[in-house]
Amino acid sequence: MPHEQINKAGQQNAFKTGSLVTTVIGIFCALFFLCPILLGLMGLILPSFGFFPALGLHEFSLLPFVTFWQHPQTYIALISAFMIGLISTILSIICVFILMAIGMQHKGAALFRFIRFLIGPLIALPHSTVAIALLFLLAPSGWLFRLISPELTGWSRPPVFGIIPDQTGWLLIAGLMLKEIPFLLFVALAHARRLDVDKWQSLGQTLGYRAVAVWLYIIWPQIYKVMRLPIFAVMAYALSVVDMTIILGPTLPPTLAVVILQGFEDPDLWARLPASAGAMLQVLMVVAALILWRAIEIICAYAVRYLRQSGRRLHHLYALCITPFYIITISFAGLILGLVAIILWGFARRWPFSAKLPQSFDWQLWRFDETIIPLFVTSLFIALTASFLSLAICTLWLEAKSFTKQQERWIAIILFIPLLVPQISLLFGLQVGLSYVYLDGYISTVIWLHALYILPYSWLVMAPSYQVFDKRYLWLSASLGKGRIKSFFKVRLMMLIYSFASAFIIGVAVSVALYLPTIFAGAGRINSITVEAVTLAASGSRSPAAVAAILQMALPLFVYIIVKSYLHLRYGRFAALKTIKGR
Amino acid sequence: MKFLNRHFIAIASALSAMILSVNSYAMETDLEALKAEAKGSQVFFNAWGGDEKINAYIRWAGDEVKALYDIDLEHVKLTDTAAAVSRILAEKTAKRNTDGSVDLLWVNGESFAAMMRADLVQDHDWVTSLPNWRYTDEAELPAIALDFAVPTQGRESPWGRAQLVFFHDSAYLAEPPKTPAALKAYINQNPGRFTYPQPPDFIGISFLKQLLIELTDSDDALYKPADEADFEAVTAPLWAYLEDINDNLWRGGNAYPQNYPAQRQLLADGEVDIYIAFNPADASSAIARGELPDTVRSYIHEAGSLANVHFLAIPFNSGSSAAAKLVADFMLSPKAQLAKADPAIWGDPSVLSLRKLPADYQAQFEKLPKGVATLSPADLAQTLAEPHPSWVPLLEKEWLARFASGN
Repeated sequence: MPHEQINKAGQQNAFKTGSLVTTVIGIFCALFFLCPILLGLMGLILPSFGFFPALGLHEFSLLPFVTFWQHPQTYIALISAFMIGLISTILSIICVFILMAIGMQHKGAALFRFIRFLIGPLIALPHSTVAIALLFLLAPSGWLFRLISPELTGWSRPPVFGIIPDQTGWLLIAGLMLKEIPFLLFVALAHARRLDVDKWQSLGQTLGYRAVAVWLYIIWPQIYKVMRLPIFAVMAYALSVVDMTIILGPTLPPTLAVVILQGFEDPDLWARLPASAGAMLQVLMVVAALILWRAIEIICAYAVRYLRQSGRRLHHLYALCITPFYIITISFAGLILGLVAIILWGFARRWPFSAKLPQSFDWQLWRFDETIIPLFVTSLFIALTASFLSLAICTLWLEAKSFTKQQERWIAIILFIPLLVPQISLLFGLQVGLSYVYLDGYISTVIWLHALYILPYSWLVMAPSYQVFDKRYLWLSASLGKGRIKSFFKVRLMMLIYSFASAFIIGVAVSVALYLPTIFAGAGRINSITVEAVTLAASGSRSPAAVAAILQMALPLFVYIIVKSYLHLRYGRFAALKTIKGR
Repeated sequence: MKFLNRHFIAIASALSAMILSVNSYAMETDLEALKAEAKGSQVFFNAWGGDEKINAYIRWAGDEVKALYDIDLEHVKLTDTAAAVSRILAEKTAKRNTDGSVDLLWVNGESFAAMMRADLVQDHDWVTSLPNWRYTDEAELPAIALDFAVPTQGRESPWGRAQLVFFHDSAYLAEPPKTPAALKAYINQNPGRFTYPQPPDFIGISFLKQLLIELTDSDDALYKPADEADFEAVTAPLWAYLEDINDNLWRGGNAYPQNYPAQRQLLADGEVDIYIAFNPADASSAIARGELPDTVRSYIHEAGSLANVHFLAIPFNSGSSAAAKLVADFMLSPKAQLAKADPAIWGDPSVLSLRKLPADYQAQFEKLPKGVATLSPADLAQTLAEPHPSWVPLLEKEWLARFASGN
């Protein structure tokens, strides 16, 4: 069988180079990525056990943990963070299921095209922008009430009641979902492209199942397999979100991550010790949530298997899904309205309640020549190089790994630490290391640190693509005399071009949102659009906050549009489809 | 000990004033040495960057010190002083005792007290020997050497004054309540139209301190470390007061604005009737920016209002401390203070003593225009000194336990 020969030849050839590359990359990763993370962890663990030489504390104790636990907000903040993280993730998954199960049929196709079109731009949007969009839309003095007041409400002043900030946490859950659904949907769609969804659907239908049931029984379990890692990242983010919580609530008390941040921002430097203990508690919380998630997974898988084997047709499932499908679509339309409100506020001079539109506009906050353009260029440079660097490392790593049977799982776990640990607590130890070797204050250090934060995201976009990639294409290429490198560029890169492009854009979006890493590694020497935006937003007034949000979304959107147009021109819509569906 | 320090400062400043008047030659050489050392260096000035007016003022000061001393002043814009303090602390942990990343820091109160305790600022008196120190008067404004009841020991240079001022929209509220009792009556008659920033926000805590000083009978205790006093007894009237108004606050006390600009926005939208800020000119500049209607006016409580001074400190490991001192000195100069007090530029009251200034500056200070919503110095004359910083964490914790722990 020629097929087997190709297999063997390819495997042997690849294995030799593979192990060498693995070793080299292993050392590289260790030096460049594991060291800083471990250093950061040290800077978190030692203070949480009461060791802080610069503050004159040289003895270990459990006092910081006790103090943190006695903080009046800790207990409820922990519970609410846990619930919000878990519920928002579960609901996001359910929504992704509904969107795909309904949207990939004839009936929901039109609306689903609208949502698919939004995925890219929405992924590129920073979390805080989504929160600000909701605030500008839904606050008692928000655009929604301005549009209908006083005609429908009779209000000449905003009402004294309102839903922002919302102490129940549901608004934060909604905000998180608006941001996470596009991301999870993107991952799911990327995988669905490889499954022959139509075939499964028609097969199911001939057996008397409606499409939604076919999705639940056959298609979804296959898609879910590759979504584990992204779900993990989404949940870790939701469990520790700060910027959205501050805007949307809950605030009385806030969630655990906010309580920890307040400890680190406390002028009293000794408050950092209990805050470090809190950060450790947060890591434990994320781990606990992951274990619980796994349990839920097992139960759900069992339930689906049971239902499938019992042969139930689940006809009512469609009716159950169709209303949420419309609600989700409307919510995304609402988000766009919120983004329009942001843009209006960015140019508004005076916009009192209940005027429908700003009464006057001006440009005074848009200081293009002095700050915006130069900072935009700096940020663009940092974001592009950092995203490229982490994508390159991730690819090298996956390339090496794909030809060996070794599973260095612990490396993957360490790579995810930046997502698990509150930024400010991890950065302190890192800063100690950087100042020790005088590496702070350089743009290359900022890029390095950004790459550290982007890496988990590149990994979780690329790893599933590699996992399901049909390696026989590479073996075929090898049998035609092409080397590893050529095969990579001509075959793998081409076939996974959309995954690469998406990982790259997500990296840029992540980089633009990194405020603390920029001012820490940059030591105040490196000024970026993010730093400018975050300080603008700190003024608390609506117009500067809007300008900040526009600046922050402009950069990733700019990159998104460039990459998207390039792919379109280079490969075209149908050319791209051909490379992907070509087998 | 504290008493001693206070004396020490008084003596030191008196001495330096004498030296100044008798022999300004020593000072000149000192200045020349600083100038020579500072020439061509960069000063990384870490300061809150949330106000475009303040940022513009710092840019202007940068141009000035460039022309005067050939110093490049780089404004590192912060959202929170803690980020810079964190970096200095990391550098101390890494034993980086020279060439630190922060040269000058905008700081006061609790942050300064903590930095002193952790030895993060220059450990000698560099302030009272600054040439422009001669225009200050400690007797007139004790707060320039007493930062939240903590003696500065010449380790931070005064930069500006702040005072807790209330702002109201006269279109909705003609006669603002100027005592705690009147405020309580107003809140309970107009449910939902008053609030304050949520502690641990700085303004929120300051509002609690203002009320505490007005309500408690044991004012003396507030100016000593809190652990020397009976916290419960001293603060009982404050909590009783807050419990009484809580249900009638904005959103029924179920939410608070996260900071004072957020509360200003609430006033701009007409959600609340009053907002609180630490800059007497805050509303005037917001009116000029078009953010607030021109019907907004300001007032302070009859008993006076909380006042403090904000400072510039140099970290222990600054690599350009000579240049940083020159910048601090420039910031203290009549020229810089005049510009800073101008409401069109910043509107921050000066730390200088008017009568010590040259006649032309005196005239210019008196000629400064005031915004429509800014009180005159006479109206602001009644001030309350900041309590000892050790009260802050206790007030904060108690407030959180009572109003923000979800019970």
